[in-house]
Amino acid sequence: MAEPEGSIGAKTVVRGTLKGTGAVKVSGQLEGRVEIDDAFEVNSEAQVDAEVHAKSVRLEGCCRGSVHAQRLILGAGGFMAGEAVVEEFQVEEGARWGGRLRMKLDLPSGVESA
Amino acid sequence: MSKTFIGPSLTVEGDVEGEDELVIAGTVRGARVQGKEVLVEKGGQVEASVEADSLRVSGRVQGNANARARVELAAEGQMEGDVRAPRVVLADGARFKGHIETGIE
Repeated sequence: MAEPEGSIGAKTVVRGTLKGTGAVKVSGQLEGRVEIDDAFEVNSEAQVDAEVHAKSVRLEGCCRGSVHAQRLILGAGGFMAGEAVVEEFQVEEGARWGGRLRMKLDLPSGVESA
Repeated sequence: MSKTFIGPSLTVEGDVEGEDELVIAGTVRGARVQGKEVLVEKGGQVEASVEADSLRVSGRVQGNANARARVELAAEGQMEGDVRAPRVVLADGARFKGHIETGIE
C-alpha cells in the first residue's frame, strides 16, 4: 500500500462515519461506517465494528459488521464476522471467518442461483 | 508514539479520541476530538471540542479547546471557541473569536 491518505493509530478510537477518497489504514479502533473509494486495511491489532464500503479491503485484524468491496483479502491473522459482498475473495491460511459471503458473479447459463 | 492522520480528502463525521499524535488535514465534525498532540493543518477543519496535551492550529477550529500544556494558533489559523491552557500563543495574523483562560498564580 502506498502512503495512505488516512491512518488511525493504535491508541485512537474513531466513532462515526469516515469517508472520502484515498487509502485508509487502521491500527486502532473504528466504529461506525466507512465509505472510501480506495484500499482499506485493518492491521493486526486493530478492531473495526463497521459497515465498510471500499474498493478493496485487507484484514489482518478483526472486523465485525459488513464489507462491500470489489476485493476482500482475509490475511493470516484476520478475523471477520458478519457479511461480505465482494467480487473477489481471498483467504490466507490461519484466517478465521464467521459469517456470510455473497459474491457478485455471472452464473453459467442453465445454473440457477440458490 | 503511534500517529493518526486524517488526510485532506477525508471526512470524519463523529468523534476521534485517543492518545496518539493526531494530524488533521481533512475534516472532523463531531462532539469530541482528543489526542496527545493535535495538529490541525492548513486546509484542515475541526468542528468539535478539542482536548490534548498540546494543540496547534494552522487550519480552522470551531469548538472549545482544552490543552494540558499549550495551544498555538498559527498565522494562517482560525479559531472560534473558548481556549483553556496554561500557555496560549496567537500568532500575528491569526483569527480568533472566543475567550482565553490560562489561569493565574
